[in-house]
This record gives sequence, C-alpha cells and structure tokens, in this order.
Amino acid sequence: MTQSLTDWLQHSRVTVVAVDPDHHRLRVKGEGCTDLSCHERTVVITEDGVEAPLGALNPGDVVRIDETDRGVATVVVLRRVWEQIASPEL
Amino acid sequence: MSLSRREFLKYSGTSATGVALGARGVSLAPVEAAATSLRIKEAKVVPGVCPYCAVGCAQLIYVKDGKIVDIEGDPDTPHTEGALCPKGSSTYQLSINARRLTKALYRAAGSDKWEEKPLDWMMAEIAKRVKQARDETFVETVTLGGPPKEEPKVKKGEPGKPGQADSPYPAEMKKAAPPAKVVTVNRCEGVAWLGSSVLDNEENYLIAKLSRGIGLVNVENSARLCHSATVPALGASYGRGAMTTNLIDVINADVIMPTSNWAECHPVSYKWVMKAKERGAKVIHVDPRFTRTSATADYWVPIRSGTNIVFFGGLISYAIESGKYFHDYVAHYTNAPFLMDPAFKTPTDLDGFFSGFDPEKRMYDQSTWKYQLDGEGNAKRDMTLKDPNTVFQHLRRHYSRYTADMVEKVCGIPKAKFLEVADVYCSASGPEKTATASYALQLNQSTNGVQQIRALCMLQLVLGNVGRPGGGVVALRGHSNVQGATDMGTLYHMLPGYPPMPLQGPHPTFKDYLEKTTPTTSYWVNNPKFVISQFKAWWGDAATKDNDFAYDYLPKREKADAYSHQHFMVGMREGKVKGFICQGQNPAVDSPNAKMVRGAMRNLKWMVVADLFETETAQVWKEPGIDPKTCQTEVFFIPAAPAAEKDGSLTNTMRLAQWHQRAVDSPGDARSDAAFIVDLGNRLKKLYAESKEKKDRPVLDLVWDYKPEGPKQEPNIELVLREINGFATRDITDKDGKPTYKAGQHLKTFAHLADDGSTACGNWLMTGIFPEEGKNLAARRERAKGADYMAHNWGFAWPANRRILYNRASADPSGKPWSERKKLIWWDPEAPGATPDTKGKWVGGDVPDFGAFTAPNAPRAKDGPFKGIGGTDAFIMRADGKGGLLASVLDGAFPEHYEPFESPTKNLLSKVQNNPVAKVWNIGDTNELGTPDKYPYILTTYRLTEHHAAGTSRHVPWLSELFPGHFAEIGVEMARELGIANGDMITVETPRGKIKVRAMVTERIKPFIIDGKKVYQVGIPWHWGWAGVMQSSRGDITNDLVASLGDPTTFIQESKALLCNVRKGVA
Repeated sequence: MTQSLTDWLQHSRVTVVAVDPDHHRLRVKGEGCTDLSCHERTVVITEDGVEAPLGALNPGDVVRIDETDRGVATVVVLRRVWEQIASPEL
Repeated sequence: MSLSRREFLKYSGTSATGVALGARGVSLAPVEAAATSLRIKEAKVVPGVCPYCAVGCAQLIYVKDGKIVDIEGDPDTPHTEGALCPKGSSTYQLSINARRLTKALYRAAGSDKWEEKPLDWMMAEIAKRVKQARDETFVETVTLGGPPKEEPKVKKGEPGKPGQADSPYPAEMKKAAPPAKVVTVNRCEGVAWLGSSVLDNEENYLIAKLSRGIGLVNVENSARLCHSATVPALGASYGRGAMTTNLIDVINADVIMPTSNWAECHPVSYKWVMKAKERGAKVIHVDPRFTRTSATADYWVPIRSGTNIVFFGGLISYAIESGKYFHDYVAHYTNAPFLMDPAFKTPTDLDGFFSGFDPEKRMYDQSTWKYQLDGEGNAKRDMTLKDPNTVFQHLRRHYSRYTADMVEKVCGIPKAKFLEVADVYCSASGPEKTATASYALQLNQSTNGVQQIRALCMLQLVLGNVGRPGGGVVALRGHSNVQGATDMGTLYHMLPGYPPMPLQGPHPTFKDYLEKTTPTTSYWVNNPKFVISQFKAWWGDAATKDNDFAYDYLPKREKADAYSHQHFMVGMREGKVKGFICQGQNPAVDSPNAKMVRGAMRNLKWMVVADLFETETAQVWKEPGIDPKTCQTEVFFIPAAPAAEKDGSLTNTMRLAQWHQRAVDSPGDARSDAAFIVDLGNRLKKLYAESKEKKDRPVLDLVWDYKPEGPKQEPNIELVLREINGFATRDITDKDGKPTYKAGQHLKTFAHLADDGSTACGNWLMTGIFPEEGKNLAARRERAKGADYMAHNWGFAWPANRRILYNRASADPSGKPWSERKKLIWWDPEAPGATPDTKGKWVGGDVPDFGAFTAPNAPRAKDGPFKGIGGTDAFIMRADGKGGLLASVLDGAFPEHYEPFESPTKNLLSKVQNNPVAKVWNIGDTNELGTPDKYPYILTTYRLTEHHAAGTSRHVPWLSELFPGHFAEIGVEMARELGIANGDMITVETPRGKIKVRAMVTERIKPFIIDGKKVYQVGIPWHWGWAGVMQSSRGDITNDLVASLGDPTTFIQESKALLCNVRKGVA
C-alpha cells in the first residue's frame, strides 16, 4: 500500500535529540534514535533560510536532512523546539 | 392545574389550547400569555436563533400571512430554557422596523446624497470595482533572497547584526544570503473584506473562500476586536482556542468566578450561575465596577483594569504555597513535571524579561524556552515536581513575586479581601470540587490580552479544573457567531479550521507549508488531510496531486505583522488599501482610534456596506462636521437580511452550532449576505471568464455552485453546510477493498478525511454536523433528557459533538472518575473494544475527547492519527499532550504583568513598564499616548444589556427607549472634586479625541489605592454613534478615545485600560 502524504510527512522529518558542534555530531530521532557524524561543511538552514553551523540547532528542533549535490548533508530547520509548546491555533 | 411556561408556549403556538387556559384565569401568568397567544394563534412556527450575543438563545418565530408576528424564546432550549433578554425579546424589530433600508443605495464620489439604484446595477459595479482593484494591486510572484541591496549599517555603540565587527552574536552566525527564488504569492493587498461575527457560519465560510480565491489577505471579522486573544491563549494552554465547557454544566461548579459583567452582558446564561448558587456554590465577581453581577455574588473584588495577571498570578501562588493545588492532576495532566533547559530564565531572574529578549527587534529568541531531553529524545520529567528546573518550580518562583501585598498595591484589591477570596476559590480543587471561571473583554482587550487569559487558564490547570464537570473556562462572546466566524477563517492569519494562512518566506511551497506547520505529535499530525480536503472543497478537480492540490492558488502573506483590522485601517489611511467590503460590522464606531479610522475610510476609492440599517460606516462621507464634497469615496449600500429571514447556522459561545430557518422573505432589495457573496463570486467569474492569465485561475477554478434560486437569487445554504461538513469526491474503499463512501456522500467524521484528494471538506472541525443527506444536526432540537443534562441531541457542538473538551481529565490516570460527585467519562475495561477480540472503551456522559479505545495505560502512540498521545495525555491537540502551564507565546513563557501603555503608575513588578513586544502603530499625532500628569483618570469601556456592540440596537426603538443616552460613570468622590453633579454634561478626553457625555455619578465606581496613591476611574459604554432612531440613541463615539496599540500575537487593541481627563461642561 502506498504511504499517505500524512505518513510520509511524519517519517520524513526527524527531531534533534542532541547536538555536539565541537565534534560535528548530531543525534536525531525518527522511528528510533540515530547518531550522525557530520561533515565539517555540513550546514544548517535556519527557518529564515540562512546558513548556519550546527550550533544553531536546539534539542527538540524538527529538521529534515537533505543531501546536497556536493555530497554534504544539509540540515533544514522546519519547526523550532519552542513551536512544539506554542498554541497550535493562533 | 398548573402549566409550565414551556408547556404553555408549546401548546399556544398553533392551537386554541392556550387561549382556553388563559381564559379560565388559572393564574395571572397564563392570562398575560394569552394575549400573546391571540397574536400567534394559527401562526406558523419557524425555528430561529437570537442574532445578538453568543449565548445563542433559540427562538420560535411566528409567521402569519407571510409576516413575522412575534418572536419568542424556544422553551425547549436546554441552555436557555426559553428565556430571552431585552435584546432577544426585541429581535422582531430587526425585521419589522421603519428605519430598515430595503433599497440598494449608491453614493457617488463627492456627492452629498444617496441615489437609489437597481440591485443588479449595484452588483455589476461592485464586481467591476473589485476586479479593477485586484488587477491593479495584484502581486503574482515575489523574488526572495539573493544578495542584499545594501549592507546594513550599525551606529557606534549599538549592537550589530550577526557577523559584524561589534556584533554580540557569534561570528559563525554570519548571514549567508540564501539564493534568490521566485515564489508565487497570488496576493491582492488593495482590497479589504470585513466579514462579521453576526453573519452565519455559512456566510463567513463563503467570505473566507471567495476572498482567498481572489487573493485577498486583508480579511477580518469583528472577533479580532473582541475575542481574538482567546484563541492563542486557550490554544497555548489546552490545544484549542475555544471555550472548554458548556453553559449548562456551570450548575455543577462549587465556586464560580466571573471576571466580566456576566449577568448584564450575557444575561440568559447567567441563570446557570444562579442555579449553582442555589445549590450552594460561591460566586466571586472580579470587575473594576460594581454591577448586577456583583450584586448577585458572594464577593465583589474590585480590580484596576489591566492588572488581571497580578490577580491570577497571586491566586496561582496562593494555590501552590497553601498546598491547595491539585497535585495529582497537575503531575499527570500538565507539563508541570517537565524539566526546562537550565538556561531558561524568567522575569524573576531578569527583572521583567524572559531569557532571549532582543531589544533591537523587540522580540524574543526563544531558544532557551525548551524542555530537557533524555538520550532517546523524550522530555525529562520529575513527577515529584521538586526539581528546580521543572516547569512547576519555575512557575512557583515566577509567581512568588505576586504576593497578596503586591496584589493590593498593583490591583487595588485590599489584601484581606484577596486572601479571603483566594481561600474560597482555591478550595474548589481536588477530586471532590471544581470551580468555573469566566471572562470576556476585560481580559482580551489589552496589550497583554493573550497573557491575561493565559493566566486564568493556568490557574484552572493548577486547581485541576479543566475537562471536569463544574470546571473549565467560560469564554463569553458578545456577538452571536464570534466562535463560528473564527472557526470559518474570516481572520487574516488562518484558514477555516485553524490551519495558518501561508507566509511567503517560510512557506513558498506546499511541502514547506506542511513540513513547517504540521506538528510531529498530537492530533494535528492530521493537518495534511485537513488542508488538502479544504483545497478540494475550494478548487475541486483543479486541485490535483500534480499541482500540490492548488496550494499556489492561495494567497501568501508577506509577513506576520500585517493585515489585521488595525493594520488595514492604517493601510486605508496610507492609500494602500483602495477598496473595502464591510458586511454586518460598523468599524466607524467599533474600531480603536475610531476617528482616525473614519478618516482612513474617507480615503478609500470605494466601499461596500451590507447591513440592515444606515450605519455610521455607511454614512462616513456625511459624518457631522465633514463636508461630503471632500470625500471622494464611492459608497455602495446593500440592504441585508437578519437571521429570521435566512437559513444558516450560528455557533454560540460553547461551540454549539444551531440552525435557523428563513421565516419570511426579505422586503425590497434586501437579501442574505450569502446571496451577496455568491452573486459577487459569480459576477467575478464572468468578468474573468475570457482571461488566459495564470493569476486568474484561482478565480476561474473556484468551485462556486450554490444553486441560487428565486427572485432574490438566494443560494441553497444546506449545500454550503454540506461542503463545510465534507463529502467523498469519489468512491472510497477501505484497506480491504470494502466500499466506505460513494462519490458525493457526506462524511460522518473528520477521522475519515484523506490526503489523496478523495475527500473534500471546507472545515474539518465541523465534520459530522451534516453526516448524511437530510440529517442536518445543527437543526435538531431535542430537549435534555434524563442523565444527558448537556443535551447531546440539541444542535451540534464541534468537535464531534463533544460538550466538555479535554474530558479525559475528568478521570484519574487509571481511568476511574476522580470522584463519584465529579464523574463525566471513564474507562470501562469490560466494554467491547475497537475490534471483536478486544475490550475496553471510554464511556459516560459525554463524547470522549480522546481516542475512544486508547487505554489509560497506553504508551504514547508511535504512529497514526493520535501520534505521540498516550493514555494520560488528556490534551490531545497539544504536541506534548499536556495542559500548558508553560507555553511559548510571543511575549513570554508565563504571563508576566506589564502596565497598560497608559497607566497611572510605574510597574511595581519589574523595571519593564509595558509589554516589550507589543505593537504600537507609528501614525504620528493620531496615536499619541497620554501621561498621568495630563490625563490622571483611568478609563475603562464596557457594554450594556439593552444595547449591542457598535449600535444595531440604536436603530431598534424598543431598545433605544431603555436608555436615556450616552453617559460616563464616575464615582461620587471624583465628581465632588470636579464639581460635577449627576446628569451634568462632561467632556472626556484622551490625546486621540474627546467625547461629550452625561455624567452618571454613582457609588458603583470606587477609587483605587494604587501603591498608596488614590486613583479615580471612569467607565464609559461604547455603543453610541451619531446615527440612531431617537435622541437617546445618538451620541459621541467612545472608541475615538482609544489608541492604536496591539497585543503582539493578535493585534487586539487596548481599550479597557486607558488614561483620560474629565472636565465639567462641553465647551
């Protein structure tokens, strides 16, 4: 059976569990936790579309990890951790 | 023999029984009623709903010979028991009224008179104006990103931007210019459309659909000005921006704390307070003024306007420090045990600020406002609540400053009185007791509006009073359909059902939109199903998977700080907004800084006003003192129809949608607002019919077939309701291939919505209201029976006919009722389960607001529609499943007191005087703020029982007779000091304007002692304007005194706490 868009959405995003910018390490949680060793040139794309280092991530941020054509992963911030405790209705 | 009023009215409508009984002289009441029965004898009875406030009193409309002869309360109505207030009792005069305009009127630019015009001509001209303004101001695409045009310069001594030499930010944060990209925005900023919270759900839905279909972003209704702070406040605290409970259930409260003038502003529903009182409940009325609510209360707590956070914060602190809070509820159902990031700081630590304040941007970087996570990504908790980093301990420390002494100094409430009521209120906690709290505009209309309501919501969580009988938060709305108009998305920032309106920066594509707006846990994970079904309802076959279901047809907002009521009024002033459609609202009177707003409207090229009467908005070109020649605005007046003359539903303050039927045809050119909207949509589609331009596809592809019929071309409103409810767009089968829906079949529940285009649904919240052809649940009227005291067969309460939200919390973590006395729903382990081989289900006196088969010990779901929700996560719409004692709101993680922008005192809680992130419009001398040396008196505004909002009632003779004129209420002592006698004419002045009113010198308003200094207050109702049926209903516009300020989240104005000057005389 084809995966629904709703299911795809839930599986295409991961949550940052821990960030270690000094050692270029990132732990994320999807269905389970995964430790990622990041390239030095790994960049974070913030919610403003701005490139930033790993330190711009917070535990709890919801991100998507993209492979760029340079072979380096890009971590795209989708939802900030504080949005998870904000009103779902504004 | 005795006959109840209910029985009498039932019998008297269509038979002679009532007459006969009355003639026997059984008692005085039937004799009086018999006179009425003569009028209604043999009359046809049509179900109606009162169109005034949001109590939603169901009515019976009596029609004889095609005319309304009487309108009464429907005695079967569970929440009103047939009662009507003065306004409801005068509903008849909304239809039968010599002042009612029944002809379409046109006022040419610069003209000094109206001209009667054929309705068809009017509609054709309006459609042309809309098209022209759209075409002239339409923005199809924008280019975002790319290299900056100019490097930002930083003055010496000021903090720089990230990456600049003197920046306090780390160098690695240097901004890299994102690559340029072209984004389709399909946006028209040149037209504003003001819907109304007195229009029906279906009408507001049609406005939302057509306005967005043509690209409008300036879309609002009157809820913005009265209750917009409600939604994010209740949403952040509980998950949904709606009243949690049911008016009838107030009877189960042990203590009730109205913080508005409930008895006079929502009089019919106040009976539940009185019934609770008869059963022993205590009533604590918190209000700056002594009113009829105070007179019925056990305690009146006078409070200085704008200081509610201090009072509620004091109660929270008292509850915690006295040990009266409901520990088990707090530990299991709120985020109290969650551990916060150690870097998170509150105003206790930072003298008024939370961690992350950026003074340059006047906003918070909230990166420290987060839970600590364990190695598996789960939030760390301490169920003992003792860890200093728990939300609970932060809460405790934060409100430790809000002492009884501080309450006395800031709010003006004597310490002894505060401690007395704190003890009474906080005693209604624990398994055996509950308290209900209500609020209205005293909390909303403030630059701290969201946080004032949040504080009340948090108090209810601390005491364990949410989701339980006799508990909850009663949000009292002043218009008949504030809830419904909000639900239907006639607000600039949201779509029907509360998904946000896209923003061009973060949401350039549908993928971006879904990824960024859909939480990873809570019932909101179903967001893609909601929005795709909505796009299918709007654009039908043109919304396909290949074009992202027509996502780009939707207009995208440029930024979050734009398009609200106050924003677009300033836009009119600046000439950016050229055309304006105004239905059922009177912004000339109800807008903050109303004098500025009227000037702004005179700057429009054209304006459409659809209303029953010639409002001040319709007359803005001939305002007294204004030469019509100076106003070049074309004005189109469209005569409208009251609720009694149209089909539709109104959602009352407790989320209850009730259907009213058209009792009679409207006179002359008058017709429903729905007819106007549908007609306009059809004409616009014709005007664009030959267009090959991409920008016009959203108009041309808009599904717009509501089968208008008859001489007035009234649309079929049940077709609109069907679309709102949702239907299958094709035959649908389940995973086993078994048919579940045939194409066109109504959907039964939002659980059946799909994200593949197979379902269309205008508003997911309402699914189930019309579950099959011929079964409109909003129209059902079955009185309360037996144990079903909340009458689940009367109307339809969203969502899924739940009457008390978050009712999982009415049971303890194991699923048993907290107590026999307060039981509502519970887990029955022996009930048949979801499948034949399982057992266990939530059962009881309400529809569970929870997974019906989710056991109390269920772990958090890893997938599916309730992803992240476990067996004790009673707040299923919040991402953490818990009541939010701490939440992310733009101006703070906890409510913190800041003084109103005009205040007689400095902030005694911190060095931060005003909300540091509030919105202040920079519009020169039309928005100057007053200081206490020149404006020494506190001014608060309010409303009356006999008048309604911006003045529909001023055109109703029965109501206008009830009040002798506009007035200001001032205390005896203040009057003596100023030499003012009762009845004298006085001038009340702020920097924005002055008004002339009569002084009502009264003992009901007392001075406050604020930080040891006596301060007087003035109370002024705001219903008056220059148009009215008699002298008593004409007067100056109170909102001329109000400034253009806004709460940072909702941009609601600050009209409850101002400074003014008062002087005797009007010279």
